[in-house]
Amino acid sequence: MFGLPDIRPVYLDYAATTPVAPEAAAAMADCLSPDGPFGNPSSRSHAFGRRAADVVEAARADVAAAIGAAPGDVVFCSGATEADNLAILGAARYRRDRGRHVITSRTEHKAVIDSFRALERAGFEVTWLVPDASGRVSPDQLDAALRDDTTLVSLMWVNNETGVIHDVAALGEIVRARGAIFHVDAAQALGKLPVDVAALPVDLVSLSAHKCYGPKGVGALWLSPRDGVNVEPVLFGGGQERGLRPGTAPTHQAAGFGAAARLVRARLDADLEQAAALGARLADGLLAVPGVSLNGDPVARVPHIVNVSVDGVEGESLLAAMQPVALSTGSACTSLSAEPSFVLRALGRSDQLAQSSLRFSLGRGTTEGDVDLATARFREAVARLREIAAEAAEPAA
Amino acid sequence: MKYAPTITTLLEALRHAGGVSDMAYRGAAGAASGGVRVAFGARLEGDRLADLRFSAYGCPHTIAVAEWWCRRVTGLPVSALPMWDNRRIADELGVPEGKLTRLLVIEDAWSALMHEWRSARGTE
Repeated sequence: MFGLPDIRPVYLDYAATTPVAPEAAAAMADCLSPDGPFGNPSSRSHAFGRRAADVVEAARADVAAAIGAAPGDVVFCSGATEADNLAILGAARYRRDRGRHVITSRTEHKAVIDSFRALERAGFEVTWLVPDASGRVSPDQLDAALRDDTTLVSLMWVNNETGVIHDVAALGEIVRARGAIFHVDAAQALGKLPVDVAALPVDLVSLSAHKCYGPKGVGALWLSPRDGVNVEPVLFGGGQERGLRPGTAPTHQAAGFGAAARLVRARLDADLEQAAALGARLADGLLAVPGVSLNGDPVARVPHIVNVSVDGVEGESLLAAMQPVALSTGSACTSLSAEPSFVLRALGRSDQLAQSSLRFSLGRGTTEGDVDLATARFREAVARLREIAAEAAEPAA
Repeated sequence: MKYAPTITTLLEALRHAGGVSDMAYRGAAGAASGGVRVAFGARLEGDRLADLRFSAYGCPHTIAVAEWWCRRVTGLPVSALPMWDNRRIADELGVPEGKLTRLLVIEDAWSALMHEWRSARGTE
């Protein structure tokens, strides 16, 4: 497009989703074969059900091990979106007799933001923290927002658009000291940094399988065994998953998540080393183009995600010109409205810069060649679009 | 976003992009801060639109439609220039409903250009 040369496809959208690891696919295929564990995991009265239950419990143990937790504290659900809903709605309702003030930030995932909006509609008072220009909520900022009637704080560990890392340990200490519950959306954290919930002052942690080479359609909520940490269910109809997530457990999905979680543990160091090298190479290449700036904290972020804004270039055209490099735009909606990213707007970016941003995200399959190809295409695309727009520039005010 | 083949074909060969400032008559509309800004530049030979160039900051649909319009009207007598018809252009090129406001900006830039040359020639 735009007369740019053909290149091979490159996938740099791992923050949107990852391919299913062969080990996870194999674990799922075993479950789906005719002689696999097809029984209902809740049907413990016969061997078929017990066999399926064994698979689910083994997977639960694998997921728990990947985050330093006990298996009994992990509840499977359909993904991080459901886990966020269960954590936020469930915890706020469970603790509503103690207070109706809750806290989150403007740069959370939509699953969190919309859950808090639902609480607002239900009469809860929400404090929406605005991160600083680096994308982080500071401990002092959180401390100032906490009140005696605050029951819940929810902040994401790794931002899905910018890769910025919240200081979960420092934030959690403050929340705990004030007697509130701390929920952390860790959908983008698992597999991108070490996760050890037992060593952190966190109470509820949302996880997603498909962000770490597991299947789509499965995730988990970890609940701290600490006294006072509990949630009310938001779905009803059965007693599965401690009564918090009714419905027949999806054996094959759990098995796939479990296998992916085993790989997270086995490969974390190697994955981080690879991402650090390639992420730095990519950021250097992109930021060498004039008028390109990094979104989010340059240090406190995972190297897997590089989000840049490009001056003088329209975002949708830039995304189109980057094809066949698979990326995400900074737009909240990539289709028709091209609404600027609410995350980048919250960081103080202008509408124009927020709209002309791209998120590159790297993963296990990324090579140096992919990074170099994407960087070269980026240079060409920016130059071509600036050329097309050059004579439409508005006269200086 | 998936683009109609008519749009991608236009974007492959932007023969009329650039050269606006070399043209005798110019008109522009929109604002980059609003996501779309389009400029046209024209050269007239007698009563004929001899050359039409564009420059655009905008989405692929904006750029493709500007290119298409240049192709459509270049070489025509001014008296025979077609009316801009947003709906018809959108239908013909496969521009989605949500992008119609972008076409209005292109129309405004085209109108500004025509106003410029009509004013200069005393025909308005």
